[in-house]
Amino acid sequence: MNVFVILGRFFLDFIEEIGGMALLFWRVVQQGHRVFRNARNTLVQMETIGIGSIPLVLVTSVFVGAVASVQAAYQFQGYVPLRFLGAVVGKSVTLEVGPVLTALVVGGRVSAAIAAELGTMKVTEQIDAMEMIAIDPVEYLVLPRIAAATVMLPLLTVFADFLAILGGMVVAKLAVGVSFNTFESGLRLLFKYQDLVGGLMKTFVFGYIIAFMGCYNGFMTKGGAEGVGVATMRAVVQSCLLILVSNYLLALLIFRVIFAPD
Amino acid sequence: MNEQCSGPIIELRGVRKRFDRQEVLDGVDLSIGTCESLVIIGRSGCGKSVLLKHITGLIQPDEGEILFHGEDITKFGRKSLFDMRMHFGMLFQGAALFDSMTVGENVALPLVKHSGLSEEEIRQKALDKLALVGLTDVHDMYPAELSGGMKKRVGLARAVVMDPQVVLYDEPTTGLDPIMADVINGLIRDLQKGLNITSVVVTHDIKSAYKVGDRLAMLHEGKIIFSGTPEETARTGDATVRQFIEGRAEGPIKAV
Repeated sequence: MNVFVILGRFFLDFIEEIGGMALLFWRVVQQGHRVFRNARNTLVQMETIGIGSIPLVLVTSVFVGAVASVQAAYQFQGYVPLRFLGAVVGKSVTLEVGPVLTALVVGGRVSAAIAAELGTMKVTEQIDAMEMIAIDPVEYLVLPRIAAATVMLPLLTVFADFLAILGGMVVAKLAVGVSFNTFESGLRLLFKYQDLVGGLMKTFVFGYIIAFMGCYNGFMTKGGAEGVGVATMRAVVQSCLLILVSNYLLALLIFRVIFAPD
Repeated sequence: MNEQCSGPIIELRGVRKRFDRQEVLDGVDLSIGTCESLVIIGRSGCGKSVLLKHITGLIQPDEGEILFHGEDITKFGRKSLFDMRMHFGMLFQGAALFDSMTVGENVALPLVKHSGLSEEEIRQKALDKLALVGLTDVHDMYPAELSGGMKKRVGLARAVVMDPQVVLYDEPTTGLDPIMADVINGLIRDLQKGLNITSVVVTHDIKSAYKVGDRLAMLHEGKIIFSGTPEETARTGDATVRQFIEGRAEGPIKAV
């Protein structure tokens, strides 16, 4: 096959994908005010997305905080006094590690689950059946998931930030030999509330991305079991990539514009 | 036949649809009479289900008009389309029950969303419709616990719970044993006669077609190539239709 044909088709597929996402995005915006009509669905989703992710977030953040502590101490050797350990762990956790890692692990779990569920509904014609009984799938399925993820991800991140710092603190004492008091005063020394708030602001967007990409890929599912597999994979890949890219853009916006250094 | 049963309820005019490069519907003209039971026959994958989904606006045609009570539904917005679908019921090929809900919740969902009836009235209505299709004691079960035939009957109960004017059936007997297929065919007939419902049935099961149809129409290569009563169909001289109803590999239709 001609190389231009392949490139052209790839380009067309890409445009179609962007178009599809834009259409769904527009319908979500248009119908956003109906989110409270399905409050029960939203609460159920908050439980599966939020409460259900707690064990995963717990393990991830404790160990990430622990390793941050060990690695920072290793790099400090001979250059930086260890009383700054708490400051470094606290900064890195609240600014980047907490929000981004929470988004990535929750994104893997949640966008896959959403895509697989909606994808199965799509291939078994349950979405069509919903349309036929005059229930809008965007209102009934998409809005509750997006609302739930957008609310729950920041909460999970607060939880993750706290646990990661705690993990770092415990490891600092056990493995590095920095007392809780020293660690804590380091933490206080350079702490700015903007770090925490800025980090959390990002997670609203990440939560939206996670649910949106899961829903979009679920709705686009074609074929049978294989199609559901493909949709699930794409949902995870796309949400992770979008989280990483938007993280950069949001960092520019939040820390260069909103909380711009004087 | 009473007075409300005159004139066409649904009309398709020059409906065309292509997916990628394949012309699925190539100018379909079809008129469906009020209270009539129309069976659309044709080979698997010839576009019968696609045709059915056009009638309900689940798929938009590339060209042509689809009229419901004389109004072109291809020009409808989402709201009008949803209002129109209140008068439609559809039984899907795999029943398409919501598997996160119980049977009772499945049947009741249209009422919960649209009727404004009390919880008790809704429950009673759902139970009535389940009884209509011969199901009792399944109200609190989940779809995964049911057999294929039971799922289809629950799907049917859900399709008629809003007392629709038109019920569409996508391969209602596929995958069922012959006895259950006959039960479903009997139900389709009873509903149509008893409640004055217009039914449109899509099938490749010629035996069912004869049993439930007032009229049979054959879809072949994107067009309706034949339409007639079961008797006319059985006597037709059209070689393509003959090959299909007699189920022969040789003939004008290339089998492979």
